[in-house]
Amino acid sequence: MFTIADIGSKRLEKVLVKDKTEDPKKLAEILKSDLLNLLQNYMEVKDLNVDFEVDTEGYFLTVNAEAKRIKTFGILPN
Amino acid sequence: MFVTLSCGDNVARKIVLTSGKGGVGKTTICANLGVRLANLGFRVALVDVDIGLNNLDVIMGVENKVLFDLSDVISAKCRVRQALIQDSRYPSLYILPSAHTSGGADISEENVKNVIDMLDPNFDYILIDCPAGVDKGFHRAVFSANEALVVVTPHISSIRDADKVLTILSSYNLFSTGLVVNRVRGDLLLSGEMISVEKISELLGVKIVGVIPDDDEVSTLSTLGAFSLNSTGTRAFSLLAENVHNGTRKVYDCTLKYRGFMGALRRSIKKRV
Repeated sequence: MFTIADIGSKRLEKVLVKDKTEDPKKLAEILKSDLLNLLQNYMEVKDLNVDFEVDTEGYFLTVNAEAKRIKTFGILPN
Repeated sequence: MFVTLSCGDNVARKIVLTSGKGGVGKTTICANLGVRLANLGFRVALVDVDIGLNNLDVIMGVENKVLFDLSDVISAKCRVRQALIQDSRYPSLYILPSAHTSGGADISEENVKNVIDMLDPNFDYILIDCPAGVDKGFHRAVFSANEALVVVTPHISSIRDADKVLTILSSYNLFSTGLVVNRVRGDLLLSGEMISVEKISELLGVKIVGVIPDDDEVSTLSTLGAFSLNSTGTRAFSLLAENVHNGTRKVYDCTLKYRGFMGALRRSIKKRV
C-alpha cells in the first residue's frame, strides 16, 4: 500500500530525471563532435552515433562508430 | 559579559540562503539563524540582496531605522558602516538592508562582492539573503558567497526548484552546500502524507543541515519582528545554528509532539480542524 508521500516521491523522481534529460542531449552533440575529432586520428569514421540516456540509476552513454579503415591496420578486405 | 568569539583566520564565513522558489522562508531562516549565531557570541552581518523586494529589515523589526541601504553603499552615497543597523537585542548582530526603490539593474555581482569584502574583516558570519528565481538577482547573491544553504519545503514544486538551483550552484566554486527543510509537519509525516526529510535529501543528493517545523510561533514572531530563544517552536533554529557552526547533523524531530497518546490526540484535532 503506497502512501501519499510515496506517490509524491515517485512523481518527483520522474520529474527530476525529465528535467535533466534536455541538457544531456546538448552534451551528446558536443561529445559527438569532440569524439569525431579524436577518432579521426585513428580511423576514417563513416558513421558515429552518440546516445545519452538518463534514468533514476544514472547517466548512460552509448557510442557507436563505424569505420572503413583503421589507420594502424589498414583497409578491410572485401 | 558579552564575549565575541573569533572564527578561524578572522575571515567571515559567507553563507548565501537561496531556494529558487519564492515564499519558502529564506528571509525568516536567514534572520533566525543570524539571531542564534549572534546569541552564541559571533559577529554576524545579515545582508539583504533581494533588491526591490526587500523584507529582511521588516522581519528583523528594524524597518524604521533604515537610513542608507546596499545601493547607497555601492553608489558611494555613504560608507558601509553608516548603512549597517545594529540590532538592539543582540549587539553583535548587524543588518545591511537592501534597496527598496531601485530595480537593481545597475547593481552588478562585483558591486555586491565589494560591499561583502568590506564587511569581511569585521564579522565571523555574513548571511546573504538571496531573492527567489535563478536570474540576475540570484547570481548577484551567490557570487560573493563561499557556502550555500538551500531552503526547501516538503512540496514537489519547491523540491524541483531546489534541484535546479543546486545544478546552477554546482558551477560555483562553493566550499559547501547544505539543505534546510522548512515547514515540516510532524502529523503529516507520521500519516505518510508528506515527503520525508530523508527522502528530500536523497532526491537532491545534499546533506540536511536543518529541519524547521511548520509552527504557528515562528509565523507569529516574524509578524511581530520578534525572536524567542527558549520556546519549543523555535528550538529547531538553535539546532540549525549549531549544525552550521560545528558541522554536526542534529536534526529536529518534528514528529515528537505527535507521538504517544497526547500526540495522537493532537493529530486527530489538527485533522478535524
